Amino acid sequence: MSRLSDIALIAQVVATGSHRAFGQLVEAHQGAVRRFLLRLTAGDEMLADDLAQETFIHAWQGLKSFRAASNFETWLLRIAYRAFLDEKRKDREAQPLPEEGSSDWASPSLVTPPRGGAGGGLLRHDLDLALSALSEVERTCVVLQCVEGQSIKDIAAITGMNENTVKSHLLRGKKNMAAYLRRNGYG
Amino acid sequence: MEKRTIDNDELLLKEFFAAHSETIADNGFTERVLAALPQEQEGAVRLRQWNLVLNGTGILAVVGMLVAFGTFGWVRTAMVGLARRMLMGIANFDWDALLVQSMLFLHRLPELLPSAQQMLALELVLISLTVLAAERLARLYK
Repeated sequence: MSRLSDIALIAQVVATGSHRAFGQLVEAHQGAVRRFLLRLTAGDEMLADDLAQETFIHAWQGLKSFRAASNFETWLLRIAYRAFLDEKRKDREAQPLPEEGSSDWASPSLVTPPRGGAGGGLLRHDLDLALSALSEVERTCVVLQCVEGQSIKDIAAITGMNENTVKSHLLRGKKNMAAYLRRNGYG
Repeated sequence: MEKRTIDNDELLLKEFFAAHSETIADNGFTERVLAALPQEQEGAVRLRQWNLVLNGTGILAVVGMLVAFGTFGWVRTAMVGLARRMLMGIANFDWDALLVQSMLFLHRLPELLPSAQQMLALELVLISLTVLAAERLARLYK
């Protein structure tokens, strides 16, 4: 969907509260938002869909504050990323502290290998395994650039990091992922 | 050497992501989101409706004015004259006269309030008078 159509639909939603217009926006951008969250949650479809739903509800409530300075999809991905971070924080708070030296210290449950409900076959599983070789910020930056096609400027806007930090995370993340892929028979 | 490694990594990742790209089908997701949207409060709905009515009236007024511009030459002349007058220097405008007229109008307002039709008629008379005054101004500065 073009940026102009997005703005026309947003104007309609803000002016009339039209559910139909908002539905068109959801339909056009659900793919990017759900795919992004699916990668961040290491393939947990149920959690990714819950977070995506939360993202669109926040977008509905805050649509008046959208200033069209950024792309609508970038704005949505920023909300999605915040929803993911909030969920991760809640998840961490809900879990009892692991014993010192246990492997749980290094692997927060939200981003480690796929939990129940992950589907979509081996290709998706491979992708999530390769991405799990990266740290959370590296994975976020790599997914935003390589899967969602976002620019460095937009990745900085989504994650709240500055552009140089994004560049260094991307460089390190890609290097680590390429090394992982070579070790596992790609390339 | 390092540049070549980075390029190789880029190429490898590009191929990997291309082979693993996926399109996510809606599968009822949009409907679930729409069903979960919070209901607006009655006050907010009324405010939005008023906003629409007022905006619609404004748009109709502008369209009406444009039609009048096209239909009645004297309206156009008057408006062009007024615009010219404003462009020549808003500081020269007779603000005192405007203020006196406004105060007179406000002073008489309570006695005119009982009927909405009377208010409408008065508004029409005032608009006509304004247009006539603008026409006079346009003639003066032609």
